[in-house]
Amino acid sequence: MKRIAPGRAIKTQYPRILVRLGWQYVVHHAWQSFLMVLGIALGVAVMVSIDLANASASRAFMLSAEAVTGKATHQIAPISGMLDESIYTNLRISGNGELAAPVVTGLVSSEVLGGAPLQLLGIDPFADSPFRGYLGSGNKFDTGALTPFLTRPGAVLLSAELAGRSGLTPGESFALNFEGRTREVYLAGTLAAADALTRRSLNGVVLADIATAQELTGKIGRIDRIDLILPEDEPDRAAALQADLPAGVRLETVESRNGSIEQMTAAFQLNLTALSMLALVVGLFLIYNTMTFSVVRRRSLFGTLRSLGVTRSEVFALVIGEALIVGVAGSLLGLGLGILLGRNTVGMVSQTVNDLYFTTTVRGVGIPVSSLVKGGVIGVFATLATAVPPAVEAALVEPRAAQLRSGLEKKTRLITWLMGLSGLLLAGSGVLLFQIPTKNNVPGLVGTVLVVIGFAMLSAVGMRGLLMAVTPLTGRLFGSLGRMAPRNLVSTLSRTAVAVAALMVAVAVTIGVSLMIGSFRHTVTVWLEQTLQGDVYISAPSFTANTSTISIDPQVMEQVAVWPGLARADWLRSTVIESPEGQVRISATTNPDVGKERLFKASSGNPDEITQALREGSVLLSEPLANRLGLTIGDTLLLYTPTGEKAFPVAGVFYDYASSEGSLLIWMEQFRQIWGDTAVTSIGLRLLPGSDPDQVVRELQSGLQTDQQLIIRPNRSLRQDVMEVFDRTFAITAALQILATIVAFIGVLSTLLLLQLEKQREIGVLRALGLTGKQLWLLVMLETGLMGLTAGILAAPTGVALSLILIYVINLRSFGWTLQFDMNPGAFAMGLLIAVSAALLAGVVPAWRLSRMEAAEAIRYE
Amino acid sequence: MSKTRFRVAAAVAVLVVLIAVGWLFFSPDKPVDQAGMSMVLAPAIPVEGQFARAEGLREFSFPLDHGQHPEFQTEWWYYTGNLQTVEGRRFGYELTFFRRALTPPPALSNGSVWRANQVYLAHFALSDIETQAFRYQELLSRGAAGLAGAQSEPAFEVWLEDWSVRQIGNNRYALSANTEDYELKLDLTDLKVPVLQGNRGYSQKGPEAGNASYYISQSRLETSGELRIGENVWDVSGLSWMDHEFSTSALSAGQVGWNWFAIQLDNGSELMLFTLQREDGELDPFNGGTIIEPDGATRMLSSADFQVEIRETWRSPHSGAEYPSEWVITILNEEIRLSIKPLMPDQELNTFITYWEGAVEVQGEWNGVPVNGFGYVELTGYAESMQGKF
Repeated sequence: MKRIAPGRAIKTQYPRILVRLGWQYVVHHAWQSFLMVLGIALGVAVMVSIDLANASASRAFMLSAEAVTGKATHQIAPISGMLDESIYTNLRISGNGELAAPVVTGLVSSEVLGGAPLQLLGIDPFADSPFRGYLGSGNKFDTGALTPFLTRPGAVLLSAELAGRSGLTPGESFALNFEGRTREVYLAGTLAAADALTRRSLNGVVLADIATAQELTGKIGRIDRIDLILPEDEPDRAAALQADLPAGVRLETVESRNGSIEQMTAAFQLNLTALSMLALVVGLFLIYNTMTFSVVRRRSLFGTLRSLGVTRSEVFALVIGEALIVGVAGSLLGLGLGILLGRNTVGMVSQTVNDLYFTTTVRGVGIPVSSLVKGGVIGVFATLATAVPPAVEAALVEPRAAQLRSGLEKKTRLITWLMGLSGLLLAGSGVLLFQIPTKNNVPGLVGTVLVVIGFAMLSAVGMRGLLMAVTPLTGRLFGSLGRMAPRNLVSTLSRTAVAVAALMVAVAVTIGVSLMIGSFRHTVTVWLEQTLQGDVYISAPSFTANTSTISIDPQVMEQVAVWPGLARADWLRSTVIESPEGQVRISATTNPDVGKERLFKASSGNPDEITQALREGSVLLSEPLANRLGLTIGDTLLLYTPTGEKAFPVAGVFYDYASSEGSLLIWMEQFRQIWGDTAVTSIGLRLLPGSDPDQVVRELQSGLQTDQQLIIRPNRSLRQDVMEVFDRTFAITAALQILATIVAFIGVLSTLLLLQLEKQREIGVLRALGLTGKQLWLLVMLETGLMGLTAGILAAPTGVALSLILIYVINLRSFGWTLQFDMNPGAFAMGLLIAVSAALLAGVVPAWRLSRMEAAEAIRYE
Repeated sequence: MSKTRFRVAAAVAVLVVLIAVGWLFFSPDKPVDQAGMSMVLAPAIPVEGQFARAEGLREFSFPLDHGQHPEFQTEWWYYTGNLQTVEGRRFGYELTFFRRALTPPPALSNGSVWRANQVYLAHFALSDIETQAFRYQELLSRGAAGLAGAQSEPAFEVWLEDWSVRQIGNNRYALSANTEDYELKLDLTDLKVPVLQGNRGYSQKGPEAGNASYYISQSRLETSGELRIGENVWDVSGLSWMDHEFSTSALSAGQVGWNWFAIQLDNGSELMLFTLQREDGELDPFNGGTIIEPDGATRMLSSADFQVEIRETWRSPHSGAEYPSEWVITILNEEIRLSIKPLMPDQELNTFITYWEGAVEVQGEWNGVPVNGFGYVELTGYAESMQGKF
């Protein structure tokens, strides 16, 4: 469209009068402008708040990881469990350890320090400065603390900020919790970080000498890993080092280690982003609608302008300029609102990330500027892009006289059908996109958007049909007004359809998301019933909601084994091991009924045969792991073991919703034999018939002799706890759903306001013809109510389609979970209720205004 | 051993801790900054009260006393030597291990072998006389977890990571130190009995009781082995000198630095001398030395027994400090007059404390007979005054 060159037009040719025209339009239609700004603002706000939350979670992860890894490029880590400390000494003694540092870590907490998880970081200060530099130049540190730091058992250093906040001064002792055990530690001194970034990292760290850390965590003789800085220009060094390492120990890059953890949250974060974009999309519907409307209203003005010599470019620029004002104002407001909203979303997202993926020790990472820039830019540009079609429409107005609207509406009828057709095409191509076999989420999300837009475009056709169908009924109920209302809507379809589509999309999102959550919840409930067959469960306190990997005091096992009233005790060892595909969660069980207590997606035999296969060295994969690795029964899974790589036959794939990265199940004896790890992380107790689980829990709580604080709970409360985490995980999704609905509501309000205001003249005539205020109320409410109803009804199929996509495409691809679709009629009722009540509420203001307006005034308006 | 030498020892001991503290705050590739420096210079010197002190004569028993004495706060093993290839290419080397206790033994461990109350520091320097290249490196570690330590059983060994000296036979020791750039693998054989410096190995350094150290040397270690620089490897041989000293003491005021001479002559004798650089320029009454006869018999020298004249100076391009670089040593009342020249001028170590420690050649007269020899000289207090820092 070479006639249109807005940039040049605005800069060089735009007559001042046109600027004033545009400005005046925005100002004179303050209500309308305000609602547009609000719509954009909310859309941007939702997007920004989610982006802030995602960015904060990522940054918290990055800082938490960096607080521990520092400048290390590589790490020597065990394939499972811990490293023998002599590996480090040998590295040093053999002269290969020039830039190597041993690390002992553990997640600890302390009531005094606020109870949040902190990283206990055990380092060798003589080797550590090239890596972390907490004691390095720039950070203020009292050297008097050095001798106790090295020589005094339990001596730790805290950041000055953390110590100050907790009212601790050097020389004081305080209690530290590690894996359910309480240790007394001694604050040897404080560290004041030189820069903000180090300060944030430090605030999540309890720094200790490696000897102290070993003693506090009970890791005597063992270290978690060895950090290395290997020169980039000497790639052979890594290989040479690896060759010298004993079996069961691996050298890997820090990126690959941290990357795999970050990858796990990527799908979760992408889905949140996509959901947050929906709010913006709904907001853009509103802009499009309002801009189109304002152009339609001013056709005659544009015609006159054109005949006065104003060019097409200038008319285009006029409309775009208005959009720019709205876009900038809306985006700015949206950024502010986004930051406010972010206060909640950041907490919710990081809670979920901490529940499901990893424990971050760094909090309060600040507001990432990138999120704000992104939100602002997208807000403005999306507004401008949305304004392009109406601006083109305006630019195409011929000079002299503007067309009559009836002509436009005639065109609309054709457009309606065309739109419907392209809607079908869009939705169809969306479905086609789902067929692309990929683990990447982007095609799936693009497909989802296409399907939703497709359905939105179809809504004009659907609305026409619905309104036609409903006319006889409303006519019978409300007489001529009842016939007039749907006819009015159909005749102004060019604007009403967009409003209905916006509301429909918002309600469909509500329906779709709640159907998805409902199905998920239902699936998890069924799964819990099948999987949690024990009567009482014992585990050690953990910072994640995932399967705990924290060892239970071996003394507890001895006592439980002979505890009276028990039919059986099943041991479970959950941990993380290395495989050629990265880290894998593994659970080793002694449960002889395990074959019966899993729901299998694919199995190599009946439950007993599966248990037998397990005993003989096969493994069972959870569905997400099987999906991630592309394995099924008959395949083998490669794992690193202390004696080298070993292939394990896959005997079954079971449904599991405990983690999205998946896990594998192995027989305890096999695991212990191969990995030499005898720890137990969870105990499932079967009681003798007639025993009261609560009674047994109380007895265990008071009777077990151990210094470890344990979580002992009956089946019922474990299930409750799991469902609590589940609901917490979806809290943000539910919040987004509500926000999208609010944006849609504003869209409807704005549209109806415009629609009704535009009809002032017509209504003036009606008033003059004797229509009472009450009848006018009825007419307006009928119109808006019908729009809501239409949107609500049309939202049902869209919502179902959306939930099916979410469940069978997005969820499956993102997390590898198959959910059982559960059609909850409540979701539809709620959708309809939202749609109709939003529409009716939105009708109140125009109805009130119009009914108070004198007929003459109303007619004079134009 | 003389009191002055003791002070040198004590000063070095304090240095060990200072460097240890400093190391914690700097990675080797980081420039020294103001905040870090202030911390290096303002250390809290641990309480000395609970450590053993050198308070009188001591029965030495070898090889037991070659090992560590953790009841004393400070200890070091100091190896220097002059080597040459078959073609006559000359090298000098220094390999030094310092031990400093942070607290009196034992370490309060709750099970971790990493628990340390000992810090070890080592310097490894190599003087390539032909190319005038001087290489040096510094290592620091806790004296725990097998990373660094010293022991006498089952055989004497002192090590810090992969730098070590260990006994491999009767009077025989293997010295090994390795950096990316250069490496030394030597076989040392003690040709004499251990030299007990001072008064039978005990040296009073001041008027207060316990202000002294125990000081042993191996003044003539026949040396042969392999030396590598870059890709080049040479077979080398020559003589080495070992000093081993332990104490618990602090320095008295008035000194800015010291000069230490260890000279090995071709007539089978050795001479150890030290002089103190005093603030006031006066001759320090604690200056002293020892003459070791070919048969191992020793004679103590007090400050009145000898003179050290400075003939030349050299200005370091690194630190800007001006060091003496040629001396004439005269032992009064004996016909001993030795002229001492560095084999190369630049043998300055710019470690936490900047000092000069280098190979020297010696010519002169010994009881009227011309003698030649080589030796090592240590010079401190020239780049920066030690006074007031510890």
